Amino acid sequence: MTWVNAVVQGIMLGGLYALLACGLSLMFGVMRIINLAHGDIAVLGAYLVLVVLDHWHVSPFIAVLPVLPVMMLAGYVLQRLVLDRSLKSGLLVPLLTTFGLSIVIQNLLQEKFSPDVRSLGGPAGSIATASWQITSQLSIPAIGALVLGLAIAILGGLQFFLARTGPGREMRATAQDRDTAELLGVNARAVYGRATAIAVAIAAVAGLFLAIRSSVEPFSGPTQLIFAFEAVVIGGFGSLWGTLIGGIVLGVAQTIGAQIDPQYSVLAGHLVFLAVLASPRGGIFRVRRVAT
Amino acid sequence: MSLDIAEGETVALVGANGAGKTTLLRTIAGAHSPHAGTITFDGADITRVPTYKRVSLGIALVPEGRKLFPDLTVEENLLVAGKHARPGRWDVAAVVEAFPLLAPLLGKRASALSGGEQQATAIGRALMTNPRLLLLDEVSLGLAPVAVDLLYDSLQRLIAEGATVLLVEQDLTRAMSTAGRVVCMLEGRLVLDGRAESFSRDEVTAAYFGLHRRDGTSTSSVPA
Repeated sequence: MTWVNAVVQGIMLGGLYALLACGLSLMFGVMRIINLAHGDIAVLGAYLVLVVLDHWHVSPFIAVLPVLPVMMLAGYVLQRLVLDRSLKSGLLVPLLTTFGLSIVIQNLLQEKFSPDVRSLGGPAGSIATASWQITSQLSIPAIGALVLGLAIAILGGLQFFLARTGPGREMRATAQDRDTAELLGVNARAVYGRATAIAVAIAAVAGLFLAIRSSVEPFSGPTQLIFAFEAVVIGGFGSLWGTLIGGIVLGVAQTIGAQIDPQYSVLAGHLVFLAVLASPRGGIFRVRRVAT
Repeated sequence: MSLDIAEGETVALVGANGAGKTTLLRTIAGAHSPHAGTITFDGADITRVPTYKRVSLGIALVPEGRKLFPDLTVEENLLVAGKHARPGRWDVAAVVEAFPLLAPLLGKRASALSGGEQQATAIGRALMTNPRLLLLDEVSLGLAPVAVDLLYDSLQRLIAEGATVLLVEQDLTRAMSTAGRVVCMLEGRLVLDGRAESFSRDEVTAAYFGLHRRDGTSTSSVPA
């Protein structure tokens, strides 16, 4: 039963990784940009929630509401003013640009909030620690179930948006062939801006739950980026449902590794990532641009 | 070069590979920026107008190689174009009426279509924008003769309805029988321009390969 519990905890953890990886997958799927600042953007989202919380003393779940439009706007502006210009110079330049952005965010956070570790676990209340006891050795954490449910809802919503709505079709078309989409009247720069706005907002949600489940400090972004990146690669770049599966596989690998020996937790995840990377398929799902 | 096209006119643009036909079409559509000169549409200078805004003015290009969105269905390919359409008669139903072969294929991914089906979808997709000027680049390239016949039957109906078409076509006979006017390009320049019936196939071929420069044949021209 201990192993079953490890798998269940891994699935819950996978929900957080899927949430973290969702925006990364979307940006790569639509624009072929690997956003190296994605983890830092998630952490920035958590800090913005902390700012709202410090001023108005509300629940983090309320405090995140004004943060989301701010992050969406920031994402749109980031794409229009920075990433669009980088993209014109080839695919490597956005990589360097987002690497630079990552350093800027980390240092700004340290300057503003100090290197101290912060958590939203306390302000979130009992949900952060509550769990459903199934047996003496198996329990389901409430926050884990909430994050997994939210990850499924967000990925499902994004899937619906891409598959069933006009702007979503435009996004898929632009992802497949930007030049042709423009020849049909699509403003590709605006589409890219919308994709980044969505990705950044989802990253902020992931940052919120990261800070509730554990804690954040100004330099915790790169670690989260690695987990998000691994989830995306395991699931197959550009595949949204693959991202969820990839996150769960990574989470389960880590909790099973931890079950063997706590020091093997992260290593087990990396080994699964490397095994998938070395496989001829290159991911559980077929690699494509913004799959539906 | 200078080229005027009147509303309702069908112009066949011919020339050897590398003559600049595709570049000209893509420049009119906005996919390329001209180094010099101007592009005027309906009296307005659109040289600096972004590609996507030219669609709302009424310019639509069917690019060489179809360039469908492979993971989108036929209907989705059409709907993407329809989202920014000018007001007009073209919608999915009208496209299916013009290209009946698309009726059973609406739910099929574009990557799974045959060449002729892809070309019909590409033309239908351009029509969904309700264009005033339709630019067709090598629509018969790589298609089976039967598919080309079907495609040109549909095109003839469009032309009969008064569509303004600039058609790039390698098949001289078909180009001259479809268009009212033939324009020939050679190395980026206009070397022949006139009514299709006023030239023999040999005269166009001579211009096509630049032979007129050797035998002293002059370039004909008629006002658009």
